Amino acid sequence: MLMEILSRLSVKDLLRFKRVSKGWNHLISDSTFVKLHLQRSSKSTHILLTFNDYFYTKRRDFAIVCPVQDLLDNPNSTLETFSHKYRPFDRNYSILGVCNGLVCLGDYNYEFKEYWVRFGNPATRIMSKDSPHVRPNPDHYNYPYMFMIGFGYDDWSDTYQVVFLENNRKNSQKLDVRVYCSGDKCWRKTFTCDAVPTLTGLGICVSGTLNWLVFPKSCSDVKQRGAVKMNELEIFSYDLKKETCSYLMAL
Amino acid sequence: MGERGEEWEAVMLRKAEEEESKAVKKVKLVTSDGVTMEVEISTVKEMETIQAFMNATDTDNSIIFPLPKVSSHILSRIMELMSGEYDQELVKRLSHEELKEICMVANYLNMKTLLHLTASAIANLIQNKSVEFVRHFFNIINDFTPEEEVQLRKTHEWAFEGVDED
Repeated sequence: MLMEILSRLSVKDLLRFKRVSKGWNHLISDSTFVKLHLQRSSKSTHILLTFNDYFYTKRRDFAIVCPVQDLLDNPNSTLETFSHKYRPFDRNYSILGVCNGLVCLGDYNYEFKEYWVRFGNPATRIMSKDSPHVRPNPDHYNYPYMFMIGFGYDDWSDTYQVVFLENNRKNSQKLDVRVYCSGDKCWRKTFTCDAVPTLTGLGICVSGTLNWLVFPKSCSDVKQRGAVKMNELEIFSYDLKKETCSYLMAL
Repeated sequence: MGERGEEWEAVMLRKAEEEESKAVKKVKLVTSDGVTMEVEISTVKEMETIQAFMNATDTDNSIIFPLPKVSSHILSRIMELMSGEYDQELVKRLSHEELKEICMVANYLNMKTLLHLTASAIANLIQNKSVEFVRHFFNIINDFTPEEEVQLRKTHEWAFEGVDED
């Protein structure tokens, strides 16, 4: 009965009511309850606005999590006024994606050439610790170097996953797939497949799969890519549960 | 003639079925304070716990169902809400104690609409309220040490800002 009542309250109320008693604290932190609450919460109440600028040659990323109602009520607001009100993250991260209200942020260390991610929940204002670092190998790759990354949720294993794909230059015709599951201690190399002619860097999560727009497989020469027609583009799709990939036609 | 006979039989059979369904139309509910309330079978349909029991036991005409956790006062309040088609205004007129009790019974008897209605009403009453208000509302004893309480408050300091006065 308590679960029925509490699942109808806001996240702010729940964080406060963890202090009511040990039993309440336990219930509110329980994963079954959290899922019920997510299921009951109204969808699409907030919008994540991302933008970037260049501060002396250094790129800066910004994210604002803003209630949609506030945008509608205050059409004269600017990015400036909103960013004072709704800056959820204290640092510059690039946004890799959003799943169930959880935001995945990526960061890169230019000196050590290492990449890592974090998960942030704007509703609870809780941010995870840095994930283990992953080291891309841009030196081994022709211009333009690009890795593909995506953030998704796998219903079956109930985990949030970040997938990192990189064409391996040492073994020129291959693509390495590495996966980081929330809570894990390392990036796991799931498999290697034929190299992918990269077009978009950020994957889109659709019901347990991550998807990137790519050049056709036959188009391995970078110079030819300008002539690729739109209806020749393909979608490279990675299945989080099965850990397999496949090509779909884009159009 | 043969065809007619079959038709006649079919009519009689249907009649007998109707009689039977009329006969089991009432269910007797016995409350914790010993009051027996006779209710329509359609009313019991919403009480999924009782419905499941009836389906499982294949009962005859006289169904008596004990409700040791429900007082006659609360049961009659529930009947009012059901016959009033769960009007929000009726819910607003309930005392906090009645509301909590009805919610508990709705949960126990697995009455989906009533549970949704009362749980939402209680959630509305405690939203944006202080921890102390909620403890008082549910008669909950604080079993945290002062140190633990300070820690919990510090972890989510922002959640304690802009809360209604008790």
